[in-house]
Amino acid sequence: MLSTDEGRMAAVKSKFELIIDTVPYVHDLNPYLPSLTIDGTLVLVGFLGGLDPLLNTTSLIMGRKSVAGSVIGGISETQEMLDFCGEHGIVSDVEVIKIQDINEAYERMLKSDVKYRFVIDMASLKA
Amino acid sequence: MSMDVNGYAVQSAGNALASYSFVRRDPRPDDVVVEILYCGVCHSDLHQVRNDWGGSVYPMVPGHEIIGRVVGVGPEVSRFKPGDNFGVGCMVDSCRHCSTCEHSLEQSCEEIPTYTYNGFDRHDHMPTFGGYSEKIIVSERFVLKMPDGLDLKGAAPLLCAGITTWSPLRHWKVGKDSNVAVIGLGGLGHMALKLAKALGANVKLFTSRRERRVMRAVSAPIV
Repeated sequence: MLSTDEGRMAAVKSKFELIIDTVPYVHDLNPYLPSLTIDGTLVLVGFLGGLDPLLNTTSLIMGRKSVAGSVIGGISETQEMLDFCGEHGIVSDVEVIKIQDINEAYERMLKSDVKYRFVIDMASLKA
Repeated sequence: MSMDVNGYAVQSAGNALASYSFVRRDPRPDDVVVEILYCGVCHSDLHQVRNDWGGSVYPMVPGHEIIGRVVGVGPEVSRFKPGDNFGVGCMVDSCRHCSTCEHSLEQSCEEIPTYTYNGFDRHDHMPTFGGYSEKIIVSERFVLKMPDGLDLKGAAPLLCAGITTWSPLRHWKVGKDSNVAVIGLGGLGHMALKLAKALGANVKLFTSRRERRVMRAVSAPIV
């Protein structure tokens, strides 16, 4: 479970207009809801499936907060993002691998042992 | 002329990826033929290879964070020419006429978009094969221009991790002095941090990573 430190969570009470949850497996969302501002949103982008434990609606109702989802983006928005990254020099932190090492990369991904994305150099296909 | 292509595929859930040869379609008038230089490895590749979400179709050639070089264009292509750098993300087609598509939200196409892999082509109904391969053929409308000057290896994950975190930042109007938090420091999480910060937001990170080390480029305080 993430952020089990109650002291740290209290320090960010009602702090965030937006929380982006990238965790790719089911986990408890409830501890994060108090850290949303009034009208704040926690948006899920990493996990498909039922929530467990269930969401407690009290924080949502009392603060007009939202739990939402989002998936990739449209083509024109993707181009906008790429152009923005071009202007600001933003790329991902990657570890380049050969295609022959893809299965090992999957095992490492399962353990979050990568900073922060594997990228296959497709020249290795010709090896 | 259809082309024989080498790649890597998985033959069924639970098996390892291995060398696989297959045939790419005959290019259509609006198709771009591209040589793949790099392909990012997305967590959803892992999920679909293992059939975690159900509905996986095998053999499966994953990969939807594709960077490459144009090697051929159909007669109706106007935005690309051979030698251009391109990107292809998670979709290679959609119905193009529903209200959602007309609002540039192809990811939510009412008839479901054609995914770059583990989908079916809308015209020939053949399975789609992704970026763990040497070449791909994609309709021009779903090919992205890569800006000059970006490191191509590092740019590959932008095609999925980048857009997946960019879209909610834009939809919820994150800008200067917004307060944003990110949960999780992986492929998606580190992109969310970088993009939110570049948009001017104050960014914090929730993470369980034991080392709890923050990226130098972002300096987002950890909660």
